[in-house]
Amino acid sequence: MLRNLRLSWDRNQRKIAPYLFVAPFFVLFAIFLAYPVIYSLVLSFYQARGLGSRTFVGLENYIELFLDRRFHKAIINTTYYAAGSVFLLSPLALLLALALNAKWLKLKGLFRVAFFVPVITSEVVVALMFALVFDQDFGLLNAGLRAIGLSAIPWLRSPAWAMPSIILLGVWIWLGLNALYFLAGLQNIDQEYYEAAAIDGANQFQLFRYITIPLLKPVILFVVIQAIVGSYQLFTQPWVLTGGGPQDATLTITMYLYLQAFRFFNMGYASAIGYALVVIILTLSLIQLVAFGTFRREDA
Amino acid sequence: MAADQTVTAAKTGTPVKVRALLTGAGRLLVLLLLLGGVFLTAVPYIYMVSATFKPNTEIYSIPITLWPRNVTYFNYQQLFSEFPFARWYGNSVLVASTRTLLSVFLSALAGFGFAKYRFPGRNVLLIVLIATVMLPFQVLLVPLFIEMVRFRWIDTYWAVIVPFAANAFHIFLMRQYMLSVPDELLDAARIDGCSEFRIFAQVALPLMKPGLAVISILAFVQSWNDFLWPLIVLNDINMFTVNLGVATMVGPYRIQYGTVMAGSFLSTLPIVIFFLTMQRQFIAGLTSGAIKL
Amino acid sequence: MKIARASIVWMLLLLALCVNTAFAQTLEFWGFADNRNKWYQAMAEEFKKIYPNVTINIRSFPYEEMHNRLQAALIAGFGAPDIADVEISRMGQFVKGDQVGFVPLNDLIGDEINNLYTGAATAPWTWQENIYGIGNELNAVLMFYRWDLYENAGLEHPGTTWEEFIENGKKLAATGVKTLAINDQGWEYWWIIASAGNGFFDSQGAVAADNEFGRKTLQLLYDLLHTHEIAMVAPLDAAYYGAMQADAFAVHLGAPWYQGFMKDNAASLAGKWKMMPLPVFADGSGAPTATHGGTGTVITNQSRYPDIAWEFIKFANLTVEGQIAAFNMANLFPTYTPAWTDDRLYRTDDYFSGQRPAEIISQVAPLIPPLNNSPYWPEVTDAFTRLVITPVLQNTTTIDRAMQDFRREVDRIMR
Repeated sequence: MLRNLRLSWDRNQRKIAPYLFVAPFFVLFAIFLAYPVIYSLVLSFYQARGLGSRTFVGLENYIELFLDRRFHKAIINTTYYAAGSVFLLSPLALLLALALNAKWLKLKGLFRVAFFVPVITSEVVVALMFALVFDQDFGLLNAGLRAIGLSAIPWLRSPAWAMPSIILLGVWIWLGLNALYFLAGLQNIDQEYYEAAAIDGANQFQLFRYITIPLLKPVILFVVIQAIVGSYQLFTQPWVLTGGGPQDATLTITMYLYLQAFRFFNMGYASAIGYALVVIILTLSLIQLVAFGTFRREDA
Repeated sequence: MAADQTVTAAKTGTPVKVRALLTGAGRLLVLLLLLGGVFLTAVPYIYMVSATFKPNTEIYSIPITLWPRNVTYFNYQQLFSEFPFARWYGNSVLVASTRTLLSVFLSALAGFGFAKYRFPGRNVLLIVLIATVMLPFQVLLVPLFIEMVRFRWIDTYWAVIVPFAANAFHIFLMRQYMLSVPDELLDAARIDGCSEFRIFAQVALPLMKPGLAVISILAFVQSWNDFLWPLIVLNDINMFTVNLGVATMVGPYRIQYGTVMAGSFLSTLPIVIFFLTMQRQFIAGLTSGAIKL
Repeated sequence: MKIARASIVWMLLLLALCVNTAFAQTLEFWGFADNRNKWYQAMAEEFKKIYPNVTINIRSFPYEEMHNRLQAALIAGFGAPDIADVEISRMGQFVKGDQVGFVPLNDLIGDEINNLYTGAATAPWTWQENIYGIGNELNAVLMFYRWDLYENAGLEHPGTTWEEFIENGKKLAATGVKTLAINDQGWEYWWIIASAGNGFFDSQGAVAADNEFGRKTLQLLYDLLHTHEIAMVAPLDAAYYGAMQADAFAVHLGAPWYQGFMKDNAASLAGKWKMMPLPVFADGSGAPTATHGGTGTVITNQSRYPDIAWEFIKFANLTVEGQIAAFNMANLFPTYTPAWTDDRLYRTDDYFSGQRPAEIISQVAPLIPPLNNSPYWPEVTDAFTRLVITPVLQNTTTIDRAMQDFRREVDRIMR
């Protein structure tokens, strides 16, 4: 009997083993993620204001959300920030990676580390530092502007400048990490492609356009998805620096969720916002994946 | 853009010169731009450190000073006399290292499982995994808090170590690393009669050192810098992590910015040192194929 | 000395209770304001002399997070402290559901209600006739002004009417000093001035911010900034004190608690300040004071020792000794009226050039307009800042249009 069991384990090891490998993760996952996630999904169908009874309201929270102008504003702001991440941060990071990948460049180690330090600095500390940088009267940035004869900018005080300030801060924080991702991608490109093209007489720009970019596509995809997912979860920097103001100019989706839950006490509505956010992020990511043809390649 | 590259043709062995886009002046410009970038990155830090040696009145005075006019150590004295700062440090070290170990172990295991086996349900589980990366943490706040209270984990190290130790993104990265381990190696071990776990522990894992370094750094930094969650589950000031401690020193009803900056500086220092000592492995790890989708 | 004597009295009175509770009890207290926490810490140490078995742990969190985590704990039904400080504008969120997570104090207060200035002590923490908190701050707003800067401009003070305030402000501006620093992202000054015409809500709880007086107040702030250019946009947080110490502006409208913050953050200006009642409009509308800010102490319904929690709150808030300590440590003017006759309250203050703050506060205290709270306070004040204060003061919309937007938003919120 025991021997049979032993034999059957040996025979079936490869079938059972993968489940055992992934099990510890999924146990924690079930307890600390799946359960709370389902709990808030249920909550999103209830009107749960403050303490006490809850009323089942079906899809009402979602309908209200669909019509909520503040929520629209939050989506627009967050998209604005995401666009900044994708179209400003990502190209800058690629340029930085190309520079860092150049063979002639000196001080590579210094550059890599220097640009990376903001990523490992706590978001709370970063926000505290930048409160001093962005301050209209006593801040570093405006001191710099005044020194070169320009007028001060109300960085975080005007609705027009507030989100660009947060985007600049985002670039400051994330540039190094994204450049490293690109650098990793660049160094993984097989040199033989360049050789072949070079023999055919391609110039440097053509190499970049027809070899680097296509071969970098998976990394670009990764960086862009990361940027979008991260952007749609933006919370700490505007929370500490502007609290979402002025005039909701930096109100993000997660901040609106947090406000509805913990300042206005509308737990059901807040849960609905959470799920709307999940849908937005999943949709955008799927579009990206399809656009880049990832699924086809994975199956091959 | 990129510099010229001398590429050696493998077959002939003769160098093929590609016409360079950037020559002397262009290179100098790139170098200057990079140095400018480093300066912009460094200035806020310099300003923070200098603020820690300023009396509060000097931080908010015109003209602003990059270096303190009147050097004071008051902010540091305040930090250690008014707050259990050393204890916060100890908590952070304990919590961050335990959570890192746990996270690395879990993600290596699961990453291996996903990368090296085809099994029914794998794709479903993978999609679940990717979906959780995208889940906004705030959705979990209230239900997870209730769970912590039910477990009687409030004000314990468990609450800040366990719930977020299983990180889907780490597994995802680990899976990418594991994909690059050749199957032949594993099959060879199987023929030698190794159990699947031994294959993982003795064959795959040693090959994964760069990946492990990357996950360690990510997990450690994440845990060290965690803010919202510790704030919710830790009440006892002696249980605070250093990042939470620093954050609780700020607010509209307390504005000793110099002291806050001193706390910020000291809380950032170890993580930067940790990164500097690990950065070689980290960068090697990232560049050795972390992100092949 | 007096504290010691009071302690002996307490000791005798509560001996029986002490015997009953001869095991160690630890109560949690959450607060957010440094000045109050310091005072409560001192009170907790005094309290321990009477109840050696009782330890009150005073814990301090940032403003926003403290209120939010208290809320999370009340929703969860676990993890809340025994006692907590709730700031006046955050009370609304705690009475929104059909249950309130705090212990009603009406019976516990009993006849002591007659010894309280209820407008500030209980009204802000009262909901549907249940008193959930005790506020010990009588936050009568006064006008603090830099007499040295006014003297420089050949003036004695900012003025007793807003019209005079503006005329004097122009003369002051000629010397390069603005009169006021107005926050274009907060409702503090609007609220202080507009309280005379109801403020945000009327006594029935309906939104009143867009009434005639509310518009008039907004117009005044707008004129100070843009028409007469005698006010500046206020720097935020600590930078405000930087501008203050740089002599950028000469007037601050603030409650007694604010005096403590000025002493801590603008110490260099000691002896340069004086205080007087607020200006009113020349047509007689307006009020010489208003209430601003305030914090009440509540007992949560999760407390295992609500009786002891109440004894502690009473010890700190409903005794002359406790209130004199609050005045001395944090400049908090008591709502507990028996303390008003205590001589120690009427000391001179060097920071305010030898004036006796308590004298002026007690003169204007009866004139404080009532504060009308609402469960929608957080949303409505937030909407007002967003849709009215900022766009109007930043000159991107008209008062009429802003008030229309605000009314539409309020109707949606309170639906």
